[in-house]
Amino acid sequence: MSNRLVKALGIAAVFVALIAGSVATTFAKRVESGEAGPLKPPMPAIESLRLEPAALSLANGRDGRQVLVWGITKDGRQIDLSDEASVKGDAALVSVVDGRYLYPVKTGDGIVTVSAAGKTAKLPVKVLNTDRPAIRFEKDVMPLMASVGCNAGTCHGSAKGKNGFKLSLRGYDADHDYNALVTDLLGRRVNKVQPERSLMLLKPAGAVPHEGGKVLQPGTRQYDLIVQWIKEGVREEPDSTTARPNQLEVLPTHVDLDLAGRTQRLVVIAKYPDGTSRDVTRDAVITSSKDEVAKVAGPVLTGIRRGEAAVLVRYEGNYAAVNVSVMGDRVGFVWSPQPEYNFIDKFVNAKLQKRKTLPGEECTDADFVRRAYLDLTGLIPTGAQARAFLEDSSPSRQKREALVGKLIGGKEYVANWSNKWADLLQCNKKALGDEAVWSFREWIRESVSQNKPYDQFAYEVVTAQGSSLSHPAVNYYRALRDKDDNGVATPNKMAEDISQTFLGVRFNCNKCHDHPFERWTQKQYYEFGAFFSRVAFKEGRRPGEEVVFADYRGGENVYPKTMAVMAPHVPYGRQPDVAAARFRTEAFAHWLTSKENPLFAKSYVNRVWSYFFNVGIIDPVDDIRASNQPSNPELLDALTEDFIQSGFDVQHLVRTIMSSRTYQTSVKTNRWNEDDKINFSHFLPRRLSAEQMMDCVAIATGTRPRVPGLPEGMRSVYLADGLADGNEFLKLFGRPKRETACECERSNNLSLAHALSLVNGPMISGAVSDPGNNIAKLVEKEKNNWRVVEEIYLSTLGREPSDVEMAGSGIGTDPKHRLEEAQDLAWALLTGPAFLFNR
Amino acid sequence: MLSIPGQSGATCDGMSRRELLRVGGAGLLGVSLSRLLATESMARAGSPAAVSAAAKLGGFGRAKNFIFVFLQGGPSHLDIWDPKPNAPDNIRGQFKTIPTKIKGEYVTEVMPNLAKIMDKTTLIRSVSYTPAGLFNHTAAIYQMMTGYTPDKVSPSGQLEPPNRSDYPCLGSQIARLKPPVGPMLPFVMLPRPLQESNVIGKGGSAGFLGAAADPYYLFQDPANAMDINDLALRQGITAQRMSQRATLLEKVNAQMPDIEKAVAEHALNDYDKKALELVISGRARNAFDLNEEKKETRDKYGRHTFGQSCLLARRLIEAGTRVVQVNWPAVSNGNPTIDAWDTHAANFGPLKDLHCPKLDSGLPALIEDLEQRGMLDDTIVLAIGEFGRSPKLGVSTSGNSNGPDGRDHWPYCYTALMAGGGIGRGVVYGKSDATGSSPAEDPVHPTQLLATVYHAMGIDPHTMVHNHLGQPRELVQAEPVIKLFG
Repeated sequence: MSNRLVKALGIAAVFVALIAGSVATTFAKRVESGEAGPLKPPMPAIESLRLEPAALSLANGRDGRQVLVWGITKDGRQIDLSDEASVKGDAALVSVVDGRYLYPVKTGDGIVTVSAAGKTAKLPVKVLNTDRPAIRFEKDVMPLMASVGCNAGTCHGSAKGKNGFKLSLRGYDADHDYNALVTDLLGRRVNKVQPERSLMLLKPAGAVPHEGGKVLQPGTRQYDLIVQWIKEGVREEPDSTTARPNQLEVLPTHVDLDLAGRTQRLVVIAKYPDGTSRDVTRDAVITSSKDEVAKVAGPVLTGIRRGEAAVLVRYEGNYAAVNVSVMGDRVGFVWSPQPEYNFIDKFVNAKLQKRKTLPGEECTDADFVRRAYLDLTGLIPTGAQARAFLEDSSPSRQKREALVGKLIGGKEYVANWSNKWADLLQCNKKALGDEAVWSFREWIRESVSQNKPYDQFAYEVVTAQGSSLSHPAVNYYRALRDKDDNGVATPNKMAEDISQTFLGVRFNCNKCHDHPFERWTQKQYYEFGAFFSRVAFKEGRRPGEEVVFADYRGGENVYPKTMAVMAPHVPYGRQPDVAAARFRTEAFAHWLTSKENPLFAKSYVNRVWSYFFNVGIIDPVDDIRASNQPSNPELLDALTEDFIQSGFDVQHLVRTIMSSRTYQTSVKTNRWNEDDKINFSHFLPRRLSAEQMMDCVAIATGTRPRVPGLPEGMRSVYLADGLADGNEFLKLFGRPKRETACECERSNNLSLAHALSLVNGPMISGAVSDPGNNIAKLVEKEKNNWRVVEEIYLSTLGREPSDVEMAGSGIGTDPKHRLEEAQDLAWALLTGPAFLFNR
Repeated sequence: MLSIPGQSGATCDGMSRRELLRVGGAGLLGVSLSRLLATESMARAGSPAAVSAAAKLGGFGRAKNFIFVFLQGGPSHLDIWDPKPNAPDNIRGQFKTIPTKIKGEYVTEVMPNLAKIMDKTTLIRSVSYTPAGLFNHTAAIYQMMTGYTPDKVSPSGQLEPPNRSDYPCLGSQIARLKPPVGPMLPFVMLPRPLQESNVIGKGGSAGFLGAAADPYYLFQDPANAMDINDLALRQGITAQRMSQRATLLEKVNAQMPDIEKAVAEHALNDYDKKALELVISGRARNAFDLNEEKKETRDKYGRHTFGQSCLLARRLIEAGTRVVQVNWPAVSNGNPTIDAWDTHAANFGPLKDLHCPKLDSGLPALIEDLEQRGMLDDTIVLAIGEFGRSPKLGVSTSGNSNGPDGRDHWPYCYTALMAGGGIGRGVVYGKSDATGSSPAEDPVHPTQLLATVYHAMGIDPHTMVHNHLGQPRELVQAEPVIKLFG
């Protein structure tokens, strides 16, 4: 081979490599950004087809149905081929519309052939009837309007309608909408003589100007159906039990996509109270909770990147959610059996294995002692406490459980956990006054100290009546007092906040209209509020005293739409017996705290879980709804069941969580879990709360806390008020005012202002340079630098320093500078993330 | 998108159908479709061409700094700077008009100081947009701050708190692309973060740019004695010792790489580093010390939170801060005892006695002061709310209830004030119709104002930044209004 040839080949090879490289990068970029949607991944070899459902039966001439077409691979996986399948039937029996919907032609049985990926499958079809039932407004027309978007909140469904035409939001009020279309505007919206000249068709078809654009084209199924409805005489639904479905079925029940770019078609079946059903896929509204994981276009969703999402399907006031999992490339992943300390680990590991995620390693004893102290008491261990734990030679698991047993229920535990409840129950001076804020705070402390069963605790709060000073639980109602724009007392904040706090449900959308993403209706909001409308207030005799009455007979809740007085009704479950109860809140409390209430125990278990793991199994913890699915429902159910079985024992719940291997996982990530934030495969660090930071700096340096509003030496968690005056540090670091039911009222972010306060503010710098602090004493007493460094590490980070850390401590031998150098080391440790985070 | 209360078909507030149609259409003028398409194609064409095209246009790069006076709540344009003395009673309002430094142009009597400095400013009376979605403050604020509409409002109706997939606000983008020279806070937000309905900071953060680009939130009231000790070296700590501490901190952290990695998203190390630089340099501490100003100067700005925030804004810019955003201090819904702009009830008394005296001291004093110090040439000032208020009194346009003397939200037409950084002097740009309901000439979409600010700062508004998912996103999808530059 000549040199020249070699050279030429070499250049060519470089070129090929360059081109290949750039193609690869383009592909990677495209997949990464997910802009145009990832490329369709190659299809694995298909061995056979499976149809779901396996057979169809068509009930009438309007009953068009379809099947999902699954391709089964050699290793048993199934891949959706619905969109490339071809459907061929006996034209005398059925017609095929849009390539997938089968419509009856004549009564009888037959076989339809479905083929895809070179395979075929037989679909038995039975046509029961070919009559076309009359079009009904509520059952047939309203769903079309919803799917086109007429009654969306941004269009005619908005509170005041649009351009003089108002529909109920997402069609919650059929009567109103029927009248708006058929009666209002002198009936000009429908033209029975020339249906196509009806304003309700001319507008959306764009034949006359329509700000919402052309949304309904002549010749489409929806358009023709409305024409037919008008021809048939604009019928309403005669039988209201068949007008609206009571259940949605979605196929498949969950979506597992192996790779980004893979698609999945959904089939939506509405089931009616009379036992009938129909395919409503084309009119259902389908949305994705995370577009960055799975995108939805009509009934087809596409995996965008590795992750989990929920797809919410909405049709005529019914909701269904389908969990979506996109696996992504996990080549090389091997699951290995993981240690399981209790049932929590079993459920967590099951989920991790399914997601091809490998849990992290177990945290060290030093990590655990710090974590356990912080989570239970809100304080870091002192140097001596940390040392005692580290030097204890019993087996690690045993001493960890013993430590939890020692701390739980103790004074500092009670202080810390009652502070959480004081947040949730909105214990603040503005609402309660100087005297009652303390009596309420003390009542909470006493309840936590007794480890009062959670159901009893909630029951006492919700049924409270009497003096704000001698029956402090009534102060919750005082904090929830609310007036409408005219200054008239309303139970709205009580209903909303009790629901958010004790059920984890935000029951406030439906104050003004039916909940757009849930089954709650507007009427239910006012019925629910009626439980609290008889809670009334009167000034007491002592200073700062107010008396709360649970049964003021004048208090009724009125539904503004009809001005009717609402009887108290709960939105789900068995109605409590109001007549048998002494007063309404008592009846409510029975229902609320019942073991059968599916949300009472569950929402609290989920909330407590989030205190340990930074995120709830459902997150946000106080926004439970169909479209906010738990990341691990089996785990949540098991924890809930265990909590109920224990008699709503909060300390039992805490102990169970802390005994799990899941809780004892390190913050360290591995290749197979670094992208996980929702499945608890590694510990997620949490910034210390404002109070923790303040109290822990005092512990670490041996200084006495000086909290404005409290006697010197008292921990900040004892503050009865939300944001007491003068507590700039607590305010900056996110202690809440305690004026809402939302966990989000407490913030734990970091910004430049926080950093300035940390590196240079009085909190850390002041504690470090305090002449009477432990650092000064230590340097004075201990001449051995090695011991000084060890003590400083133990008291700030709860562990001993490594050799490198020892060598780099910066503390030298010059007696003039030793104290300053020791202060600087403490400062550096207190300012860094190892101290500022619970990790 | 116009909403009028009452039953469908009937306009019980008395507005005629013709009026309705006219106003309803006006919103669309805000950003014409052709303009939108042009923007898109320009973005597609790739940035080099776009940059050079932009650079050729007037005003590019004239400004070095930016002061954003954000009048949160939605001030009533008719009662401040776009009076309609000839409109019917239920539109005109209660204030008389007064002449300004611009011949033939008037403002209301509650803004006498503004009238005197209008030879230095441009008033844009044709800001207009049609909301695409929920008609509320948060969505409008988010658009004003980021140039984008929020993709999601919590399905539960509660507003979603800020998160790291949000679009970054204008100030964060500018401060990141044009960082300050020397150790100084790049972007300061005064006197506190944005807040609406208990949600703090939505729209007013660096969003997907990451925590490190967030503004420095003051969280204090400049009208009172401020605790600025965080910014000064503490007693007994020399700059040298602070530097040693900084070095030690880095060294100590480096020994804990797993923790470092686990908390990386919080950007604590970046913050610490910046904080230490600031403290050691001492510049920020001095900038925040309003006591260094003459008493008369402080009086002129007004001894209230807004006025002193404006003064502080000037001091910060002088000290090297790139962007200062002054948020109107009060937020509240229709409470007549609080100077919040959201005047659903009692529009006039409070405006006259509470709001406008403050606005009319702080804002004109700022412009004049910048001018006198020779800073107005390279400091661009934008004062605007998230929308204006309904020309007609006592009607509901947002679904909120309104008092008979209240005005509801009105995004279809309102007014902005701009000055400095090459913006025209003594100009009124655009015109509203006879009732201040819709632009009659030269409609300007609020996102175009953001584009104009970017342009003035020497940043192509179509510059692509990458979001948390690595997807390219334009700073803003709008064109600058080149005619605003004098």
